[in-house]
Order: sequence, then C-alpha cells, then structure tokens
Amino acid sequence: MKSINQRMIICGLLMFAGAGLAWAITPTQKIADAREKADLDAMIPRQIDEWKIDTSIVPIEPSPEVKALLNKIYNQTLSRTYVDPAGRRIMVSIAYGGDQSDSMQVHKPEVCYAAQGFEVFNIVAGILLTKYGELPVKRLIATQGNRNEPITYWVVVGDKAILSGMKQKFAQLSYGLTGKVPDGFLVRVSSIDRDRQSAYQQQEEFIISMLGAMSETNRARIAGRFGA
Amino acid sequence: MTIAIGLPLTAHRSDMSSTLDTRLPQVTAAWAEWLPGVAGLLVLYVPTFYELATTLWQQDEFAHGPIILAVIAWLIWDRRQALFASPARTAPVPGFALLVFGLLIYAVGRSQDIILFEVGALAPILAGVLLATRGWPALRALWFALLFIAFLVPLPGFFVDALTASLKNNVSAIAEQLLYTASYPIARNGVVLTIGQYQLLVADACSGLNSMFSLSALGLLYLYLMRYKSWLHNGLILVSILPIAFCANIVRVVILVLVTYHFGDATGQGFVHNFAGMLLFIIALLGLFAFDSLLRVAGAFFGRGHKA
Repeated sequence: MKSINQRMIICGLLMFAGAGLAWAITPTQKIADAREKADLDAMIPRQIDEWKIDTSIVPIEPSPEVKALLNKIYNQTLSRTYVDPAGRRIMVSIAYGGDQSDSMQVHKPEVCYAAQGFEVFNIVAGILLTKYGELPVKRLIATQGNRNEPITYWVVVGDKAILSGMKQKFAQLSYGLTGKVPDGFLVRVSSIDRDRQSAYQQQEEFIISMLGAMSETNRARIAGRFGA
Repeated sequence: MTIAIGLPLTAHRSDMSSTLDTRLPQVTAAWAEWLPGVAGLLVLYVPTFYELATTLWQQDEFAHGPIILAVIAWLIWDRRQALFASPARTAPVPGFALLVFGLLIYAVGRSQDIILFEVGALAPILAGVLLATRGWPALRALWFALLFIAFLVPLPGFFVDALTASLKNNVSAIAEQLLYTASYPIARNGVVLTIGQYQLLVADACSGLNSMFSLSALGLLYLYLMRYKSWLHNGLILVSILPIAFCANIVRVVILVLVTYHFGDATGQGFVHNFAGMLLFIIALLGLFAFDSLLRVAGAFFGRGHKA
C-alpha cells in the first residue's frame, strides 16, 4: 500500500512537471512586435502598371460580427478593386494577423465566401511563377446566382508563403516550438468572370505586376521571402 | 418478549456502527491517497477548461462541451470502487509510460494552442495514473469514461470544413427535392433555397454536423447504459446513429422552410433560434429509441424461434 501511495505522489509530481513544461514552452515572443508595423494601405501601391483603384465594387468580406471579434491591435484588412483602361476589374483583399492567425481563418476564401452563401468549389493548389521565385497559391471558384468569381489566394506565415491548411499549422508550429508567435498575411485576388482560365491568367499577371510595383521589404512580407 | 426483540436489535446496531467505524477511516484514507493525483489533474486542466468555458464553449457548435464533461465525471463516479480497490497487481511500466506520453502531448497542445492535443491528452494521462496505481482491472472498469473523452475534443477544422460543406449541399438538395415533389414553388441555387418570395440560406449550423456529433455521444452512452449482450444489436444501433441524425436534420430544414413559407420570415427566424435545434434532437432520439425497440422485438421473436 505504501508503494502505491508513493506512486500516486510520483504521478502528481509528473503532472505538475507537465504543466510546468507547457508553461515553459509557450511562445511569447511576437514576431509582429519586432517588425515595423504593417500598414496595408501604404504597402500596396495605389497604381499598379495601368491598373487604378476603382471604388465602385467592394470585395466580399467576412460578416461585420465576425470582424468585430478580431483583435483590433494585431489584425488589419485591406479591400480594393483595381480597374484597367479596358475596364477589366480585379478585386484584392489582404488580411494581416499579427498574433495567432484567427484572422487567417475567417478570411480564408473557403470560409469567408461560403459563410455569405456562395458555393465554393474546384479548390486546387498551384504554383505561380514570378521573377522572384515560386509562389504556392490556391485557386477556387465561388458562385452565387449569376456571379461567378474565380479566386487566387496565398498565405504567408512568418516570412514564408505556404499552402493553407495543414502545412500552415505546421509552419505555425515550427515557429511556436522555438518560442515565437508568427504573424501572417492572407492575400486574395479575384475577378467576376465566366471564363475561369482567362480570369486566372489575368489574376496571375496582376499579381506579378503588383509584386513588381512594391518595395523589396514589402514584397517579402506580402509574398514571403522567396527561397527562404 | 420485549427483551427478546430488543436484544438482537441492539446487537445489530452495534454491529453496524462497528463496521461504519472501520470503513470510514478506510474511505478517507483512500481519498487521501488520491490527493496528489487529483491535485495534478486540477493544475493541468482547470486552466484548460476555464479557457474553453469562456471561449469555445460559448459558441453554439461547442455548447455540448460542459455536458460531455459532466457525463465523464459521472461515468467515473459511477465506477468509483475501481479507484479505491486495493490492487492485486499494478502495471507501473506501461502506466508511467502512458502518463509521460500524455503529458508531453498535453504540453505541446497547451503551449502551441492545439486543443485536440491539449484535451485529448486527458485520456492517456488518466489511463496512465490508473495503470500505475490500480492496475489493468481499474482501466477496464473505466474504459468507457476514457473513450468518452473523445467527444470532449473539438473536431479538427479541416475535417469540419470538408464535412460541413458536403452535408450542407446534400441537405439543401434533398430538402429541395422533397418540397418540389410536394409541389411547393421551390428552387435551389447552391445552398440558397428560394421558396415563394423568400430566400433561405442553408447556413453552416444547418449542416447538422454538430447534431451528428452530439447524437453519436448520446447514442454511445445509451448503448453503454443498456448493456445489450448482443453484438449484432449494438452494432446495428451504432451504424444507425449517423443516418438517423442526418434524416432528422432534413426534417428540421424542411420544417423551417415550410414555417417561413406559410408564416413569414420573422416566424421562421424565431423558430430557428428557439425551437428547431431542440426539435431535431427530439426527432433523432425518438428515431433511435424506435429503432432500438424494433431490434428488441425482432430479437425476442427470432430468439424464441431459435430456442424452439
């Protein structure tokens, strides 16, 4: 009986040690704090080649209730529509999350569009070739009634662009286990277009122009450091 | 006469008190023995459950959390003899191994915000302590409580996303077909149903995924409590839980659409928030009980035939 008592005490001590370990390895160092504060509005050029800002269409956003839940200090969003001289429009929506990425979740097109009654399908992973390197993107289509909206988006965790989903969680983990809380971006580019292929093509060109029009530091934040 | 009756009575009473006297310190000693283990568990899980209670469990989708926790506590309480029985043989090696494994999972989960690991670790931690201090019989006695911890763990996001989307589509499509067959003016566009002048969005909550989750928990608990001997009976009920939950959800959505169509949008919306969820549960549970009774009747019928 005595040995049982001792064993129970060892169990208790082990559990205290487990709680202590969890506390000790909890990441506290926010990468966002060490960096220059992200100002999305200033980071993305207002004119990209021949694309200019058009205020007539506002891209789809998470519902106001959901947005209200996000931490105001560590989260930012930017929604813009660009139009070229031929009248073609492209919508850009960027979400920045400075702490663990709740905002990455709610802004994910699969979640955000579906929550507004769009049907979301044809989600495929792809590679977008830029002159700086390869950008892993996801492409999908959201439809509602007559509105057919092909979407290209990518996620940046810390300073690396990553396919959203499991890989994103793993990237967060690899930061977290070294005691760091990564910040992150979600960049979504979409257009209302019946023709999926031409829409994707146009979005790709736009993304390449947008990255080209940005400073190197801003580009590294929005699209991750290539080759990192 | 009175003396004759009185004697055995007093004898009996002193008997009782003497057993009480010896049992009481034993019980308190047994409780005291558990103190370090209970303290450890409190340190590990009070913060976890406090955070869950103030965040995740506030959402409708996870509102079942505290109930599941209470059920687990009750299941353990129900088998408390196993916690206090003096073990003939314990299993310290697998016990401590499981405990340490569970604690590592817990530490990773808690520090990295992976609730799946943080809460799921409770099962190996409890199992480890039981094995190390009480041996295999105690683990066997409490297996169901440990299994039930699975329902405390929130389903992983990617799993929920995938299932919710396909469930929503199926539910909307079937509801449309049913109402169309009943010659209602209904049309569907993705997950948006249009009936008459009203447009209804089949939202995530209408996918019925949560009800499937909680009904699975309830169904398992029901089976555990009924203790049917027949594997076939248990198996058939297990397999039927999800389809029953699915059908109940379709009934809910159809009723919701009809209420909106006949009584207007406001009534429909009021109905969503007040009654529809409850209705789904009642329908599903009645379905489960009905299926169970059917199986029992069939079992009795065939069982008798077998004997003759």
